[in-house]
Amino acid sequence: MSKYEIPKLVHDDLEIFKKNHADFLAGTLDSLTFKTMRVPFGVYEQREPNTYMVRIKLAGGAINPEQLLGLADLAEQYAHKNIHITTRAGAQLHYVKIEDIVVIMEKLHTLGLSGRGGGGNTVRNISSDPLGGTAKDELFDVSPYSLVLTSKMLDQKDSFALPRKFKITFSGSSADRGYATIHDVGFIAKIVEGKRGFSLFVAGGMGAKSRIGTKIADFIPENEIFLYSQAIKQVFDKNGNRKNKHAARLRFLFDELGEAQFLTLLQAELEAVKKEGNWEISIPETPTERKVTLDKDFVIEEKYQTWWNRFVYAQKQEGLYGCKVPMYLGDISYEDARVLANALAPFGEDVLRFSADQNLYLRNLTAGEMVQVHDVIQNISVDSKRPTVIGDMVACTGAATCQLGITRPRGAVEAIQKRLAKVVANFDAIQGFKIHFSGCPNSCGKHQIADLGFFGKVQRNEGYSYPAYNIIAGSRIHEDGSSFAQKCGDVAAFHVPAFVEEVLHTWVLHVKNFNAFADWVDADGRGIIEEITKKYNTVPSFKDDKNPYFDYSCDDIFSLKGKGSGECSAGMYDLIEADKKALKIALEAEVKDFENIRLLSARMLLVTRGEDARDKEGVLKAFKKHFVDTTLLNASFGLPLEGDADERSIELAHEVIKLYESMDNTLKFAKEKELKVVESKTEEAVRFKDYSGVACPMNFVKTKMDLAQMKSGEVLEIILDDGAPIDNVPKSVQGEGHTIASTTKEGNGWRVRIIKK
Amino acid sequence: MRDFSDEELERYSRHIILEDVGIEGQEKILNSKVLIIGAGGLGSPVALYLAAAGVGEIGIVDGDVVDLSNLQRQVIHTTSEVGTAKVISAKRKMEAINPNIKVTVYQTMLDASNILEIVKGYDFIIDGTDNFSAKFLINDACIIANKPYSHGGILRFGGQTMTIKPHESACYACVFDSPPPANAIPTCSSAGILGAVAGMLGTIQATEALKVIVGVGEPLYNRLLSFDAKAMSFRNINFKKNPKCRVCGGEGIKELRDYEAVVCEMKR
Ligand SMILES: [Zn+2]
Repeated sequence: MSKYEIPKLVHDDLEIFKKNHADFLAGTLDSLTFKTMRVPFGVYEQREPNTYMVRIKLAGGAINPEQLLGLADLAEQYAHKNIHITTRAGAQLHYVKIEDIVVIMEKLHTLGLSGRGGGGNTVRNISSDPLGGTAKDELFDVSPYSLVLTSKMLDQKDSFALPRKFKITFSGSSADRGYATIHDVGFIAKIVEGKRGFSLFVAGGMGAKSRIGTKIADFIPENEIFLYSQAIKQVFDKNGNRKNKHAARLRFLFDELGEAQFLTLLQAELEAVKKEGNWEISIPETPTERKVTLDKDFVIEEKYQTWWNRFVYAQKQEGLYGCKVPMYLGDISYEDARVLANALAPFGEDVLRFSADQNLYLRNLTAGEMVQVHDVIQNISVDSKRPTVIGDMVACTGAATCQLGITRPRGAVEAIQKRLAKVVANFDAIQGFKIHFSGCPNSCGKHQIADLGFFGKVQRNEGYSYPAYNIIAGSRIHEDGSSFAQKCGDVAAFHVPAFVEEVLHTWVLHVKNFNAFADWVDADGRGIIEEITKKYNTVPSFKDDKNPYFDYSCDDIFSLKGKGSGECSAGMYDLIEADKKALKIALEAEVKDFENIRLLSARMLLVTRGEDARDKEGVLKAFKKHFVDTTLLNASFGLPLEGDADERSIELAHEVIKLYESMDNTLKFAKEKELKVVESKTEEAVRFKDYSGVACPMNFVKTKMDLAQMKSGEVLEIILDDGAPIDNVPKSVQGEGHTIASTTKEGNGWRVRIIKK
Repeated sequence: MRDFSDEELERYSRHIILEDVGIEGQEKILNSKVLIIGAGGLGSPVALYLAAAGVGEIGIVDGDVVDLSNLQRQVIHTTSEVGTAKVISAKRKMEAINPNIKVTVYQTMLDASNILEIVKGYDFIIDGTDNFSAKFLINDACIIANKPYSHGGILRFGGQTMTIKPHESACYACVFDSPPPANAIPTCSSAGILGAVAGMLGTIQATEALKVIVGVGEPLYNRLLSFDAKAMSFRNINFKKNPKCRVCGGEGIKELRDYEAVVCEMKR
C-alpha cells in the first residue's frame, strides 16, 4: 500500500463541487459562496486576480513515480511549470485557471490523490517522518499509519468544517522528525511489550501563541490512532472558537479548558466514537522491503564523495540508501519531475518522499543505483552541490505575496547564498544547521524550530522605516522536551548575510565541543550571538546610504504603505509599539518636547491607515486626514496640529493612545463602528448659527440650546472664533456625546459641523 | 422646548453647561414649583438658592416676624427688617435675586387643617421647620398628597436630612415613628445652633430639591445623611421603607391630625 484511499464521501463532494463550479462560471453563484466550497478542496485564489492554486494531499509526503509523472503532466498542461513542495509535505500547482479546476481534480483522483482538506478549516495533510521506513533509529515505519489515517479522516464529514485547520503527524522515533511535539495531534512510535503503538501529543503548534504539545498518553495501541484523532477532533469541533480565527487553533482551546477539562471532554468523545463503531483501523501492512543483492565491494568514487557525505544516508536495511535532495524554494519544474520520476521508476514504488522541509528524499536505492541517479539529482538541485546549510534554508515568501508579510525573506536567503558562496569555510563541519526565515511573526517559515531563526520586523531610523529581523536561536525538537528558539536580538535586513556568516564562523569554531547547536546556545552561545547582533542592528542615515532602506529583491523603498487594508500585521504592531514606547518616554520626561510628542502621537497610528509618511509635515497632514477629518478624533484636535507644538500635544497623545486601545485586529477603532451609522445620515445642516464674537462659555451654552431643539442625527453648523472658542467648544460638545464632523477655517474663525447624538 | 431668552441663557449658563442639567434640565427647573415651609435657618438658604436657580414658582410659609435673634443664622433677613413678616422679608430678597420667578407667601402656621390645601399646588416640599410636631405633620401631609419632600433638622453642631419619595422610599415615620416624649427633647439651654450649620443643611436640601426636579443623581432616598460639624464628619445611614409604617405602610394614614407641640418656649 502506497496510496491513501479516496472514499465515496469525497467523490460525492466532488460532484457537488462540480455543480457549484459550473454555477460559478455561469455567474449564478457568487464568488464568496464558491470560495467556501473551493477552499476546503485546496483551491485558493492567488494574489493575481483570477489565478488559483491547487493544494494536493500526499499523506506522509509519499508519492510514487507514476503520481509524480501525473503531477508533471498537470503542471505542464494547466499550471505554472513548477510543482511546489508544501510545508506539509504536500504538492501545489500554481497559476491555475478557474475553468481547469475540475479537470485537475478529476485527474488527481485517477492518480489516487485528492485536494480535499488541502485548505480551509479542515484536517490538513497528515505528515510523517520523511525517513519513515528507512531510519536506523526508528521503532517501526510510521508511513503506513499516515496513509490509513488519511483514508479514514477523508471519510468523515466533520473533517471539513472545523473551527480552524487541524494538523496531524507521525514520528518514527523520539528524535521526532515528524514534529509530533508541535502539532495539533502528534504520534510518536512506541513499542510496549512487543506491541506497536504511539505516545500522543496534542495542542502544539507555531504561529500566534506558539506552543509545545502536551503529551496526554504514553502509549496508545496502534489500532486506536483513528479513535483518538477523531475524538480530539470532535472535542475541537464542539468547543473550538469559531468567532476569532486568530485564537481558534486547538492549542488555544486546550489552554482555555486546561488539561484536566480537556481530558474529561476527550474521554466523553472517545466513548462516543467507540459507540459509533468502526473506529478500529485495520493495521496497515508494512510495505514489503526491496530484495537486493548486496554489493559489499562497491566503492563511492572520489567525485561523488562530498555529495555522498552531505546528502546520502545508510538506511536501516543493509545495502539500501536514502538521499536528501534539497529543492530551492521547494520548487521542482515539471520537466525535472519527469526526469526524476523516470529515473526512479525502475526501482519500485516506494522510492520518493516530499518532506515538510520542502525537499525531496529518495529512498530504497542501492549504492550503485544512488550513484546512477547522481547526475539527475545534480541537474534538478543546485543546492546538492553545496553544503547542507545552504539548501536547508527555509523562507516564506513574505511581503512579496503575503498581506501580513513585513519583509521579503526569500531575497534575504538569496543574499546569504551569494555571500556564503564567496566564503571559504568548513560548513560541512556544521552539517544539518538550519536557518529559517519568516516575513512576520506568523511562523510560515518555521523560524521557531530553526537553529538560527529570523522573523521580519520594521525599524525606523530618522523617520525612515527599514526592514529588519528578530533573531532567535537554538530550538530543540525531541520527544523528551522540544523547545522553541530563543530571542537573541535583532539585525537590519541589510546586514543579514554578514550576520549569518559571522554566526556560522563562530559556530564552526565551537561545534566540536557540543552535541547540538542548542547546547551551545544554552551554554554561552546566546550571549555571543547577542553581541554579534549588536554589530548589525543599526543602519546609516538615509542621506548617506539608501541601500539599507530597500528590502531584498524589491525595487521600491521599504514601506508598509498600503498594508493597512486588512488585518493588523505584526509589522504594524512593531511600528505602533515603538512609537507608543517613545511617546510614553516623551510624556514622562521632566522637560516636555511638545514637538516630538506631537509627531509621535500623529505618526503612531498612521500605519493602520496604510500611510508611511516620513517628514513632519507629511505625518501631520496624513494624521489630520485620517483621524481628525474622519472624526475618529474630536475635530478640535486639528488645532494643535497647526503651527508650533504646545502643551496641547499631551492631550493629543493621550487621545491617540486611548484610540489605539480601542482598536481591534481588523484595524477598526471602537468609535469607527458607531460613526458609520451616524455618517450615513449626514446631509444638509438643518441649522446654522454664527457665534463669532460670542465668548466662552456662552457660545457653548447657545450651541447646547440649538442642539436641544434638534433631532438626533441632524446637523448643526456654527461659526466659532479662533482661540479659546475653537479650542473649547467642539471638545465640550463632543464630551456630551455629539459628533464633530468637521472643523474648517473660515475667515478669522472656524466653521464647525456637529451631528446631534 | 421653550425658547430661552438671551438673558435666561446667560443667567442660567452655568447650569446649562453642566452635561447633566443642560437646556432640558434648566427648563424643568423653570417649570417647577417648590414649597418651602419655614423661613428660618434652613428656609433662608433654600429660598435664596432655589430663587437663584430659577425655580418657576416658590411658595414660602411662615407665620412669624423677623426677630433680632434670628439674624445670626437666618441669612435671608436683614437688621432693618426686624419686625417684618418673615415671608415678606424673604420674598423681597428672592425677587431681588431673580425677578423672573413667582413667589407666593403664606403668612401662617401650618396645621392639619390647612397644610394639604397648600402642599397640593407644589411639586416638591422643603421641611425647614424646627419642631417635631411640624415635621411629623409635614411627613403625613406629603405622604397623603404624594409629594416628594426633603426633611431637615439641625441641633447645635449637627444636622440630618433625608429625601422622601412617598410610598417608594422610607418616610420620616418609617425611621422615627413618632415625636419623642416631652422630656426626651433638648432643653432650651441646649437648643443652641451654630448659624453656619443651618446654611450647610439648607443648601443640602436645596440641592436635593434641584436633583429631584432635574432627575439627576441619587437623592437621599432610603438614607439619612447625618453630619457633625465639629468633627466635620458625614455619614449615611441606610433605611428601608417599613411595610408596617403607621404613615406610609399597609393601610397608612388617611387623615391628618396635629401632633402635640413640644417646643422650647424661647423666642426663635
Ligand atoms: Zn413610612
